Amino acid sequence: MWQMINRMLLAWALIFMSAKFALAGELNPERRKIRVGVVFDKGGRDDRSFNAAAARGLDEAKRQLGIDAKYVEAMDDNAYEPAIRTFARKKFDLIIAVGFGQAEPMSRVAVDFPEGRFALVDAPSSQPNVRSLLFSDHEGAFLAGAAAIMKSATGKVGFIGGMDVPLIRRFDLGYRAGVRHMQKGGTTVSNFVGVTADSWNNPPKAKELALAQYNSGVDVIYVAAGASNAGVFDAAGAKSKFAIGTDSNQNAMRPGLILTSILKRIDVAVFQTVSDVQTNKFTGGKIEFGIANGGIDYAFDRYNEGVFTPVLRSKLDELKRQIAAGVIKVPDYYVEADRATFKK
Amino acid sequence: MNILFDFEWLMSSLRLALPLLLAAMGGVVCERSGVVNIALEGLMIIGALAGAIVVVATGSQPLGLFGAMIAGAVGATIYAIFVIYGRAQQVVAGAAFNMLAIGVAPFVTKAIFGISGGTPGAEGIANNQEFSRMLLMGVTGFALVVPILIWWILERTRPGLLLRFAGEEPGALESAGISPRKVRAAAVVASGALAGLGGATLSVLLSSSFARGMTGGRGFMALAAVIFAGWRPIPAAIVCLVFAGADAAQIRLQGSDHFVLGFEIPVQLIQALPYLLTFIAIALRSGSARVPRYLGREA
Repeated sequence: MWQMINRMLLAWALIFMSAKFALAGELNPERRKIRVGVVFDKGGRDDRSFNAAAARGLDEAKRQLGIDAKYVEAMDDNAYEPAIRTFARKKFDLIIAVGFGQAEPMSRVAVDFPEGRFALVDAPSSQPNVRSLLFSDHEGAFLAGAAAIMKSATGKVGFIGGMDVPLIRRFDLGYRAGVRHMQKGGTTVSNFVGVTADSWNNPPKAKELALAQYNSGVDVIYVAAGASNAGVFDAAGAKSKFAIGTDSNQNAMRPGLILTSILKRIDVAVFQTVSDVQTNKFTGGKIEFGIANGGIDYAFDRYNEGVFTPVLRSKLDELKRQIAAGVIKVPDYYVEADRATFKK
Repeated sequence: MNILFDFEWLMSSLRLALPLLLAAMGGVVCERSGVVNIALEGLMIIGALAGAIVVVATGSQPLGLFGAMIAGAVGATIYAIFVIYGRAQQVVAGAAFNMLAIGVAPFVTKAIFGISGGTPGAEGIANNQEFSRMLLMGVTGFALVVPILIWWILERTRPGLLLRFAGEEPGALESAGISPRKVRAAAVVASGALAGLGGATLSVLLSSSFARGMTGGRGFMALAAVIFAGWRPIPAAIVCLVFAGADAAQIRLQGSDHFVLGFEIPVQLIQALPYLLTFIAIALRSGSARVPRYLGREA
């Protein structure tokens, strides 16, 4: 009996080892088989928006670079640090934290593991072994505002943010600036789903907010609320009005009613970082992704080609060029002066 | 700003009241039989999840609602087994049940759809706006009738009398040869079906998919309404409508700037309004509430 079990174990061990060797053999010898740990925030890996964009970059890296990736979805704020720490303790080659809420936990772990390499999406960190992947969300929101007011028949457009935090205020301010840039008298109505982290997961509430906006004469809504976005798209469907998606390409969620989606290329940033670790080019510090380097863009595909007209697109492309060249300076909520000058 | 309390506000209130109303009625039925139901939140999660899954699988919203009722009843059966037959402390078991529901939901969606954040959006709903509007109206009408129906059952029928005895004087039932435990079990299962339906209105009628954490404490708000209303169905329904009305007003207030005596009202304060109202309501009421005598005690 024991002999049999032993034999089986031995056989399994052999199978595993050969599988490992086979895999290693396939890989490019320059590409190390590195281990990457990712901690998603509360929206979850499949929020079809923010986290999903990071997940796509990870999947791409898995496919192309042959890395070993593990991920954790934090259920609440207190789960971030243990998750990051566990990866660090297991000596993962790169640990990526997705979301501004993980800034502090990641910094704490980074101090304790100076040998570790960390990447943080959406928030700055002063630790030398943390790479901050920052996005110029206000530039994307500016494009959304311009597109919304151009499409609007009523001259009144809406913004719905998830949680009321500076990051989302940054979207709001950029959006307002975009609206005002295209039409001096354009009105923007802004709502936030809530003030707690539940806001990212509350589609019914987001839908109510959207219905209230549509009923007040708004005919295009830009929404940055994680998994709650789906509620706004439902309202758009019910009222046959337009919505603009965020972070990932959400055009397919309501074909013909989602004017466009503002893309935040977290996937590119994540892929780049993984690749850098693999080729020993990883550095700490901040990397900014904006319109100028393709980190922020808008989505155009078969789902919105009917409503996102060539006129709209050419205007947006022009705005993109102007922002990239610095001709247009989009106000940034993170900059005190911008916040003060751009009062209603 | 336009008039705050108009027809749109009324409709918005009714939509927001829908999940609360149904869950609160589940709470009344359960607590009047003597079983504390902290588990309402968890039962709503189970209902919301099951409803969304059935809609994705069959494309039919009515089937989704029906499936959610069954799932809620099954979940409540588990709860009943623990608290009535296993004699678990009811508050603790209820809290445990909620945590179980929170944890099981992502596991189930991961197993079925491969995504742990929620269920994919249901195509069927998007393509049939007219029908879903009618269905929403029908279910809202039903939810408004349920409190009256429950009042009638409790006060005017024999099963209602037995249920009240299970909560007030289970010994009397026993001496009449009726098992109070069975009565309680039936009440818990019925409350599960109601709470499950309430949860499903969120994922099937008010939006088109399940998202993790989408119940957002509505089960607890429903329970608060039940307690505030002194465990009576019709007042509980009215309290739910008031909560929802405040929430709807809050949503509409958010859209514009508000000044009171020259000070801008922060949006956070407006958003906290329904919860503040809940808190004040409970504080004002709890002193004089008529609690079912055997609530939380073994039968």
